Formats: sequence, C-alpha cells, structure tokens
Amino acid sequence: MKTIFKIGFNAVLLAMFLGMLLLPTGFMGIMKFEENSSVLSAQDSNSEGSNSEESTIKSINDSEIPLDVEEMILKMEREYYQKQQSEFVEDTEGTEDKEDKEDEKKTDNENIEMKEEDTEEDIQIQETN
Amino acid sequence: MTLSKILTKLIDKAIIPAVLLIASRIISIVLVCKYLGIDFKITNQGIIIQDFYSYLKVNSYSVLFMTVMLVIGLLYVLIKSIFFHDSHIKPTTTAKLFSIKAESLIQNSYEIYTQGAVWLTYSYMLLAVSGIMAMSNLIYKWVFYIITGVTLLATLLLVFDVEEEIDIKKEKDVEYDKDNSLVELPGEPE
Repeated sequence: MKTIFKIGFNAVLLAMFLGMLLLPTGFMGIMKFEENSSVLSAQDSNSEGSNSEESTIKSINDSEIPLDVEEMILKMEREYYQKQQSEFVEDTEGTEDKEDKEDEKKTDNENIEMKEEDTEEDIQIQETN
Repeated sequence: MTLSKILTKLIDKAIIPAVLLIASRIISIVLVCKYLGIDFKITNQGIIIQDFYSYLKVNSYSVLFMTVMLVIGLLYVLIKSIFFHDSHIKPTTTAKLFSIKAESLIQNSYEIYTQGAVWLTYSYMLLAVSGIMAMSNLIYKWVFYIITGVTLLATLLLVFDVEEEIDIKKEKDVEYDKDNSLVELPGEPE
C-alpha cells in the first residue's frame, strides 16, 4: 500500500514537472494570423451587399468599368502581389539588401506613375474620340 | 510518504525559467507589435495578427527575445558550473566571493546540474518548436540557426564541466589494483 502511494505521488510530481516544461512551448502557439486577410482582390465582389442593397464597392468584373481601366488595375494588383512575394522570399532567406530594395521601390513607383500617366492619356483620347 | 528528492528539486528549479519564458513571449509580442506599428487583437483564441507577413516578423523577433532570455539563464548556470563549482573553485575566487557576500554563488554539483538540466531542456524544446516553425515558414530561418548554435554550445560546455567533475571524483577516490590474475580465490584449482 505504501509503495502504491509512493508511486502515485511521484507520478503526480513527474506530471507537474513535464507540465512545467511544456507550458512555455504551449505559449509559443498563443499568436495566430487571420487566414482571411483584409487585402482583397479587385476581382472580388461584395456578396453580402448584393443580397440586401446595391453595394457601393464595385468589382472589376462590373460591366460599367472600361476595359483599359480594368487592365491597369489588374496589372497593378499583379505587381503588388509579386512585390509582396519577393519581399517575403528575401526575408525568409535572410538575404535582404536594403539598397536593392530602395532601387526596386523607386523603379516601381516610377512605373506606376508612368502607367497612371498613360491611362490618363488613353482616357483623354477616348473622350476626344 | 517519500517524495522523490530529484523530482522536487527539478520542479523547484523549473518555476523561474518557465515564468521568465512565458512572460518574455507575451511581453515581446506586444513590444514588437508596438514598435513595428502592427495591429493585433487579443481574443479568447489568443493574439491575432492581421496578415501573415506581419505574423512572420512578430513571431521571429518574439522567439529571438525568448532565446535571449534562455541565453541569460544558460550563461548564469554555465558561469556557476565553470567558475563557482565547489569542487574546483579557486581559493582566490572563494575569498573574493566571501568578501562581497556572494558566497551563495558557490554551489555543489546537485544544485548546478539540476538547474542546468532544466535550462537545457527548455533550450531543446525551443529548438524543436522553432525547427517546426522554420520548416513551416512561420519564423525566419536564421532565428532557428541561432537557437541551434546556442543549444549546441551550451550542451558542449556543460558536458565538459561534467567530464571535469568526473575526473576530479576519480582523482579523489582511492584506486585499488583491479588485476586479480595472481590472486588465489578459495575453491579454485591450483
């Protein structure tokens, strides 16, 4: 009887020790990220709004949006995701080069500005036609 | 009722590291989020970060902060085991420690190795979890490499100290001649 009690109490002690060891490891899973990110695609549509009232946020698939605007938005979206992905890969591999990044950012900004100018010109041409 | 002395000692020595690591995890998440300007929500499911990219950053720096805490704990144990171990402490160091009233730093093998075992176990646990996280791309790979380096170095240093302790013990023990080829045992034929 005495030995059974001894084994029982020591088993409780062992369980307590293992629990204490696992506790900080368990706390490592305290943080999570939202899988449904708030960053939406231009092709997404507001399904909740379409049921009740007409939504103010329009999808790119909407027939009212001109083709050239649609193409430009999709291009910008693609560039955004490519940039995000390249930044993520650089960070995970630990080969982050700040100077290159700054150059990329500059060229990206220049490209976006150029594209915006082009589309404005296109729109103006369409209007004049 | 006789409780295991070693288990009681291990539980006693595991309280402070566990509290320190949990606190460092929570505090570091909040601090990194504030510093990087990342939004987070505290719900009943835990701390929720808005997107994966921010999660990767916060998680990596938080695990790194935990590693720093681990390094501090391991350093404390290793310094005690290498310099302040009662079996091989220098007389001058003993005198100095007594003069500054820090004689509590001089400890025996039982105290040092139970503490060392606890800190090393936490180190290996962190290594395992960070390894899984690095494979799943949930933390930067360099964080995992740092933890691997710290764990291996701490293990090696502690093993060297144990070896030194065994050598000291051997020197102290009386050595008997174990060669009994010329000894005549009773009942054996001549």
